[in-house]
Amino acid sequence: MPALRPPFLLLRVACLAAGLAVAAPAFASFDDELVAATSIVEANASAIDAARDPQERARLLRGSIEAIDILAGFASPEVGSQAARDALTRLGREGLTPDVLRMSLVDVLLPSLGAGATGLDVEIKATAGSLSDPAYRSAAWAALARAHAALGEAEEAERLAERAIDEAQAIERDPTRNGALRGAVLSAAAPGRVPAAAAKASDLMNTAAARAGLYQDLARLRLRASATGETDDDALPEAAELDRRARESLASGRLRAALTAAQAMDRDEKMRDARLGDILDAALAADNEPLGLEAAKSFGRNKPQDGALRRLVDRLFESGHPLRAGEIAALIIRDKARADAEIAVSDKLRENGYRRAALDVLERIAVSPVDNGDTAARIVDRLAAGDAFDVAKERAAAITAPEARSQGFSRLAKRLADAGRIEDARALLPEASRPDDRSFAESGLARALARSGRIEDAQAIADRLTISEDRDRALEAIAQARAEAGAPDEARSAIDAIAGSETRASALAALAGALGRAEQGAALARLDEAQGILGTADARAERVRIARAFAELGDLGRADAAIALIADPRARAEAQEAVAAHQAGQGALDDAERRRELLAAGPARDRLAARVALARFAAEDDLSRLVADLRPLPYDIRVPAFREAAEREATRLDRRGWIDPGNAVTALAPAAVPTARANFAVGHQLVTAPIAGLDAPERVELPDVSGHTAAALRARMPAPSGGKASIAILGFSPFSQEAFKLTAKGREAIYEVQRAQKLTWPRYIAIESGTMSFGQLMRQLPDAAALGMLSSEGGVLMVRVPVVVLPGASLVMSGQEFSQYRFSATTGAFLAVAGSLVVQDTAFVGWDEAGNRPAEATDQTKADFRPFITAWGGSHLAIAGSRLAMLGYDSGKAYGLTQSSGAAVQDLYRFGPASPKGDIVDNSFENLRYGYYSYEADGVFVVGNEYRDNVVYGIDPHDRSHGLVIALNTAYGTFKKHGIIVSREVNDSFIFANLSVDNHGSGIMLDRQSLRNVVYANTARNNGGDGLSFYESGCNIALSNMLKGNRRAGIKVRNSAAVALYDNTVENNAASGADIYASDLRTSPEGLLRNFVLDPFEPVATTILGQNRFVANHLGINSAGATTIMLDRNAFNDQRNQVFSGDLRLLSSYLLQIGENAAVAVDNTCQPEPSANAHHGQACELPGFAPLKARTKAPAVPIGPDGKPRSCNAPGGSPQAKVTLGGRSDG
Amino acid sequence: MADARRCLTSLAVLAGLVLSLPGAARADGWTGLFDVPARQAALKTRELASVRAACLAIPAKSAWRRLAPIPALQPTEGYGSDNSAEDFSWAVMVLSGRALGGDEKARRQLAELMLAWAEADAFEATPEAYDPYYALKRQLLPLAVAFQVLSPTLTDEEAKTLRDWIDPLVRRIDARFDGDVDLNNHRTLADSVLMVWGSIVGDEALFEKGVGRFRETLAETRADGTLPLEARRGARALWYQRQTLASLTVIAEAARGHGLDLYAQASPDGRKSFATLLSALLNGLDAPLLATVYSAENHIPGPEKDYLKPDLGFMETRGHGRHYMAFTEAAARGGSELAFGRLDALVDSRLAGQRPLIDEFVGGNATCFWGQPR
Repeated sequence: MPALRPPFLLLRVACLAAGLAVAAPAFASFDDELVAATSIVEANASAIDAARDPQERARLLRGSIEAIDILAGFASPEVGSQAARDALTRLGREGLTPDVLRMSLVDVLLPSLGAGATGLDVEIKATAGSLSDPAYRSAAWAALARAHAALGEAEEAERLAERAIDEAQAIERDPTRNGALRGAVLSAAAPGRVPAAAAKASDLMNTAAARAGLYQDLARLRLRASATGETDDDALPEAAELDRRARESLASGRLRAALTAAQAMDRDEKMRDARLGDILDAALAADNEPLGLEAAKSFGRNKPQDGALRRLVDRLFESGHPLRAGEIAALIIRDKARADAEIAVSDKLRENGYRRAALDVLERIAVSPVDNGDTAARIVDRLAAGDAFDVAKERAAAITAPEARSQGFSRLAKRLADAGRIEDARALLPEASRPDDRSFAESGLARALARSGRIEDAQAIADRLTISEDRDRALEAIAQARAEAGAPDEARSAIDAIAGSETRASALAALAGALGRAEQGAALARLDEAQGILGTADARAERVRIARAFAELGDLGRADAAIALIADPRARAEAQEAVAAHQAGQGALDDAERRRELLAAGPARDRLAARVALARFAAEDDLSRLVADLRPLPYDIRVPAFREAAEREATRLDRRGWIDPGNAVTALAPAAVPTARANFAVGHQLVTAPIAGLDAPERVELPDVSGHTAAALRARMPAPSGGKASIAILGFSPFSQEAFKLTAKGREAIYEVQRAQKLTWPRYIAIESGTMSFGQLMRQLPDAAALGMLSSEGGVLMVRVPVVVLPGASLVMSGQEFSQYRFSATTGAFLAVAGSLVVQDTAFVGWDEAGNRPAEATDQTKADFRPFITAWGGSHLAIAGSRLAMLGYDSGKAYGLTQSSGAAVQDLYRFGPASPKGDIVDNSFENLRYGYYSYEADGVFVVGNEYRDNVVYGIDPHDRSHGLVIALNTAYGTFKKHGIIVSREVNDSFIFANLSVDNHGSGIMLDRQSLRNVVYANTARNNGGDGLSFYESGCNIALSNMLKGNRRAGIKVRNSAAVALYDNTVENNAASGADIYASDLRTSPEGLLRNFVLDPFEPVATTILGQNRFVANHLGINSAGATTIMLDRNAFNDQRNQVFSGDLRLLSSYLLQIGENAAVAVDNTCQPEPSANAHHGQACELPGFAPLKARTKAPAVPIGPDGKPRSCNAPGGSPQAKVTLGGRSDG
Repeated sequence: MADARRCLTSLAVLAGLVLSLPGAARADGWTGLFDVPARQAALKTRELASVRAACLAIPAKSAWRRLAPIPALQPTEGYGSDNSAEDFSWAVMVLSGRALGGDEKARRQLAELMLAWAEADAFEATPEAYDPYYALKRQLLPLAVAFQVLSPTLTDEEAKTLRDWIDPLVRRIDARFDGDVDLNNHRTLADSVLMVWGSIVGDEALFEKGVGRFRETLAETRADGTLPLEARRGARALWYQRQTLASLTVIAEAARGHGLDLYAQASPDGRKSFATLLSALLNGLDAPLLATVYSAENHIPGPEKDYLKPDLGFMETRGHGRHYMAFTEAAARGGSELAFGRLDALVDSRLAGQRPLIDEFVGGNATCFWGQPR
């Protein structure tokens, strides 16, 4: 609404401007004001007609605009003047609207626009921007674009043309919108210059004629540019000549030239469509999707254009990219054809496990249930297949055509039955009015009844079904249910009633499976019979099933014979894989390996390799070998294999049943043996026995991670639905400098961007709203493609600029769109997320464009920029089933994949930090600077991932990250430090069921005041450091871990109060099994670099060691300055040196005698000064774990001979000092 | 005159007065496009001497007597319509103007010419297709007006001959073709012909077609006065706005004979009227950028394919001395609103010098029918 101004002043000015002798009295009434304003507009209209001087016309128009704005202000709801509204209506009837006046002003100003006329440019833009009708706005921006183009300012012209396109999208009337889009594109076009926005504009058009017309205009411009003197259509070649050129260019592989010639032909020319078809064929053969799409959109009539677009859709299905197919499908003109294609997209997504995305696509299909009942019925079926029953029912009810309605309800009833909602399904049967539909639905109902055990009810339905296929399906389910119920004869009867040979064979195979090895002879006979029934039929699925069943019954000869009968190579490979996997599972590794050799290279062979590797690991318990075996396999096979190995290992270690109650063993350790009381001191060690309350907690509720799988996230992934994005100038972004790595620390990312773009304030892509994909970005931001910010080839997308996801916006990156997203290290690309990011089943790779290879790094190249992902406060990540590789470098929060609180967007600072959250599940992280880094993240699930060959750390949550779940991950090959580390107040988190192996540093470390964490059933083996370390991190509990073959200690506890270690297996570590000590870091080399305000420490180490097994370590338990060590029924076997060493050495014989049978405490008699802040000011509370809490407080301060408390912290004054001064540093 | 009128309008609006401008319907009414007896009488007055001169400005040609009747108008290829009967049409319009202006010889020549074509069943074999029917529509309004001018002097037999020839032709053009032509200026032209003829022959149903079309057109008009099916025509967007206005003017003038002031008629929402449509044309002439809001669609644009080069040829005399802006002779005196004043000023400044303004879309010599001294 225009701002209200003092009306009298304005009117006086306006009247004077209009040259009217209007007597506007100083005390004019409100009504007088309205009359005067109206008269100004009217009088100026006539004056404008007469005026020839542009400046005079502009002056009059400005006066009119001001006057009409006054009227609009009075007419606004805020003021509510009816008289003003009437005046506006009256003027409107005279064709004098605010938009008309403003547009007239733009018209009169434009010819005066010249280079450097900034003020005029601003006035025109302001005037254009204040137009209310989108058609006017679009036309105004297009006109301004033309003016700038005429001044040789092509880039500004294109920018304005894009704005005109954006405005045009809001135009309701289809032909007007098409026209405005055409006008917008042509405004920035010239001979030899086709605006990048042409593709976007044509996407937005809704008739083939409009699209083809635009491409014809542009083609003719191209041709004019290539032919001197050809300035109009009359000078263009005749159709026959254009056709000849198109053929010739096509023959020589010049697709662009061929397309231009074909597009330039008159749309009525018969040969035009034929040439376009040829060009589309050639583009598809060359995998040139953009040109193919342009060729498709050049067909001048709807039907052929739709056909061409559908070919592109199908091609993208073939290449496994249905999301991109969905973008093309949306361009199909005719409703039914478009709906068909979109249903196909949805089907593909659902087949591939993308349930929600499939539903999103379905729910967006715009098709009338009245006019297109058949299509609507199919949508109902698919909605129900995705369990969206309510929506499906609503859609079915909207169908009016009886046949289509019957079909819709029939499919819905069947799907409900499949989902076990038998009564709901039954209730819909009356709506399935056609006999065929009724039969289909009832067959589904019968199957559901059979599965639920209501076999008689199922049989009753089957008996009345007359359509053979429906009856067979019901009988098959009945047979299977009877077989599983232990009634093979009844099952056999049902099978005999099945008419179709393939269904009968399948049922027989199921019966054989139910009979199993217990009745091997009968089972084999059923399978033989099934084979016989199939005869020479293809029946690939049934034959695979039979072959597998033979193998499971142990008859490999018959299995191979069955495989030999499978004609289809893929099905044959599937059968071979199934049989070999069965062999591997049975431990016949060599046989499985030999069978694997028979398979061609490909996924089946790789999957089998993983099965063999897992079977070998189960047999040989060699984790490093498992890593070596799985290493060469593709990530999508490797990652689930590692997760399976981690699950198996955790199951083996889960003797407490915390992961699966079924794993619990009743007696973890021998019962405590009553022992004599002891209370004596040797040296500084005070021994107390027996002590009570050392039992581990009965149960700690571990988070359920079973739902945190790639499959689960896949099912939840939304389909991109569009939104708003822009190419923005970095210097004017709403982001904090930190978001762009403008900090002084490290080599700034921005430097790389500036250098690559050769701009001080380079550009980035901002995703502002909606759920977008990169494919959509390329469509919505044509400049991004034209300027090379984004480019795609086949299934690979290259990103060359920073991309920022703003709060409230989402970016979806999926293998269903691109197989690989490469972020260029050469041009400084990275991804900052303040909204949501989904990465699902794809690869996100830092790419060295100069070398055309992955941007691999070592610690020596740590300063070199590499792309990264940083998710900021308020963000959410859902990264699953993907490979993230070659990311990150040595700059704060640019380590690879980072989650950090803090505001990427300046405005958000006032809301305070919001912890980033997310699910990071079943991915491979390879060669990141840090595989995972977080700063004040909250509740993130890091589950089932592979961390492989990362530079510094695998998993590294940091700085007050809280409530994390780190489970089922495998970290190996870390170059510099640890596989898994949590550091600096990472509290209340769960680290369980992980594998950490072959890392340069330790397997798992808790560091810098990280409290109240549960470390359960992890395996840390063959690491260069310790298996499990606690550095300045008390109040933690570690149970049932396997710590084996590490080159330093199995477990290390440094300066950590209240660490409880139960039921761990500590085996064959090169140093101690457990090393518990205090260290004065101030005097250690590490202390030189440490900030003791940020990272305080106390030389306090209190540890419970309960029921652990120490096997073949160099030493058993070593203590140096530990405050308290409590021992309870630990078992020691075959230590290579002492069982107890250090402070405990003199107590060895006693501890060996007592400690394996009962609980004993060893307290250092010289305690450190008591601290009220032993756990950084936080309570040490873990569920049901009193002993830790009890021992959090140091025992009473010993009193010296002088009657004063003895200080043990003075340098040289305590045992701790003696063992640590200038000594050990393991950080 | 225009200045005086603008001044008066401004003052009137400021004073809150409602002026009664010329052009209101006569209470006693007439049939046809205009009041032939009254006009003939007025043309004899000294005040309208200059206008009478415009009636007689174009000489009659004896060669017109040899114009061979055309049995059928035919479809054409590409843009445009069959112009084979243009000489005949021109002759009819010149002669009807001259007859109105008192040229008895011309009156006789006109009657003979028309009777000859009537007796030859001219145009009778025109195939029913939108293209030849459009050409036919263009023939019929001059014939209807000529018939109206001739009627007082025709014998009953002559009148019957002509009526029997024209009437079925007129009724044929009421055909529908399931396309835009059933909705755009082609239809408005058809309904203007039907209305005028209905008024002449006393067929109320035909007459109402024009009234209905006028109201429907107002309902379809956008807030800025443009019409969706005309403003899209590329370089000819304004050209077709004018085309519609010409036919609406014919309808409004015929309505005035029946005491109906369609110039003052508002659309159902009260926001649009003839003045709005007229303003769109005037605004577009002032600021061609306004036309580009819709003309970029470039739907069947005419010879000029660049929508940014508006075809303003209608401001100049065209072939056979016709002038597409002839309707302004009537429209400029149609109402009291500002738009009419603006049009009047336009006539003064750019069109008056090209008089007489003759056009088949308004039935002939508009200056003679409605013109006022300038």
